[in-house]
Amino acid sequence: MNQAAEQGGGDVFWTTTSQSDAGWFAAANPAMEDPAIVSMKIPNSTINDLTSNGSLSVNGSVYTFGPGAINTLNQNATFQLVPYK
Amino acid sequence: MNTAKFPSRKVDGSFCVDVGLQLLEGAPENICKVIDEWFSGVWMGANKTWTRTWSTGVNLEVKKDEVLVYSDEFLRAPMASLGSKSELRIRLFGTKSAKLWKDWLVSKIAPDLKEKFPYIGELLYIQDCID
Repeated sequence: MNQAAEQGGGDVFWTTTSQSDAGWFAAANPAMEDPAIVSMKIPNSTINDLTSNGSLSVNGSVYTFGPGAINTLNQNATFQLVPYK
Repeated sequence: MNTAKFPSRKVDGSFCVDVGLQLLEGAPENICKVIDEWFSGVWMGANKTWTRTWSTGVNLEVKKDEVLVYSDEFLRAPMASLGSKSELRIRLFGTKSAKLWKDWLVSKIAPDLKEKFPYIGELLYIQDCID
């Protein structure tokens, strides 16, 4: 999060279930580094908890996590780099 | 401190990016003119604002509208040019205060463009304008 903030990001972050869309954002990364995509696997129960407490909002394929979601994700989600293109 | 290297900012804080897209078979020779006319004559008029409805709460029953304003993010309509025979280039002119320009690009401009012109293919690159 600190690294994201240095690039102009805030304490809210956006994810998508569309790998194609993620590729667009990766290609336009503000650090101008090689594009990279990280996948998160989140248990349904965690998704339900986060939406219930308002830390997660959904619009189609876009999932927006608020600052209250960070600790929960770190505890319950698994993260993995996935191939870019 | 914002150390973002991309997109490069002009002196006034605005920026310019080129989006390269595959151009598939079937595209007319005057494709840039057709797309520019569609952007300025149709798309811009219909997309001065874009409303996203976010769902949250138990069973996603709480709805909240977010209204995005095109002119907050961009100075003018997108502009099409040919990068090569099989590459379409869409140029975007961002404002100093733009924060959601990538949302517009990924979730609105590109899908609308590809729906209207099916011979437009996948993303090739996004880069600062070089000319």
